Amino acid sequence: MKPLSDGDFLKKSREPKGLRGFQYHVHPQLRLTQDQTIDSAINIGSSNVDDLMFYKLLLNCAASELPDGIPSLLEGLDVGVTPLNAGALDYVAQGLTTPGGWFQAPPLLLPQTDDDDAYDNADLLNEALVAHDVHVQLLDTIFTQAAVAQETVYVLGYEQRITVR
Amino acid sequence: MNQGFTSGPQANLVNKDGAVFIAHADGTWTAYYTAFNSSSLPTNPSTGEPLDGALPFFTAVEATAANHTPQ
Repeated sequence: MKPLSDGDFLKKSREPKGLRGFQYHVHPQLRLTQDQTIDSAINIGSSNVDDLMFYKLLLNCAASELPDGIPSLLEGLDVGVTPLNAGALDYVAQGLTTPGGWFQAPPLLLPQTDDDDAYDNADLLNEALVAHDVHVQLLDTIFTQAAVAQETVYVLGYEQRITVR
Repeated sequence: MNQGFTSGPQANLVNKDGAVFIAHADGTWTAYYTAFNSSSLPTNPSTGEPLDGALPFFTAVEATAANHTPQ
């Protein structure tokens, strides 16, 4: 895994038409082979106060703390892109939505600027978000450490498009 | 997966929710799950749509405002 660019995992992307604000993501680049990587987009928050993001983060937990079946599912995968089968992970069925352990991410509001495109600059965006929010700092650290240590990262989610380069 | 949306993206597809798992060299894991407050709980396990009396995600999971110290 490696950052989107030098030291940078963050990216701003506009929410779907009709919604307000921005959603923000970290973009680990997942290395499939020595010569092939794919992009991934992982939620870190929203600027839309009407639809804030919630997260549960378990650091250095035991395999037994993961949802039933997940460790064996993940450890059985080859490096690459694998379609999820029904029941691979369901927050409700797996008890992940039971009360407790969830945090509300604050609205990720960037400092005011007259330039709507100012934070398209990745360095400025990274500085603005990481400087102001603890859980973004934490995720930035987690992914940076994972990239340095070349740890195995599993991203489960909606496959919008896959570009292998 | 089981999103509980009343409108917008529907609702109980296998790839609607996401998660990240990182396998560390010492055998431990980091897990990261996200959801948005536009989903409600509890839901119909077949359709993924909210049941009568379902609550917004924030209320249902008794979320704590970050910034925080994770487990």
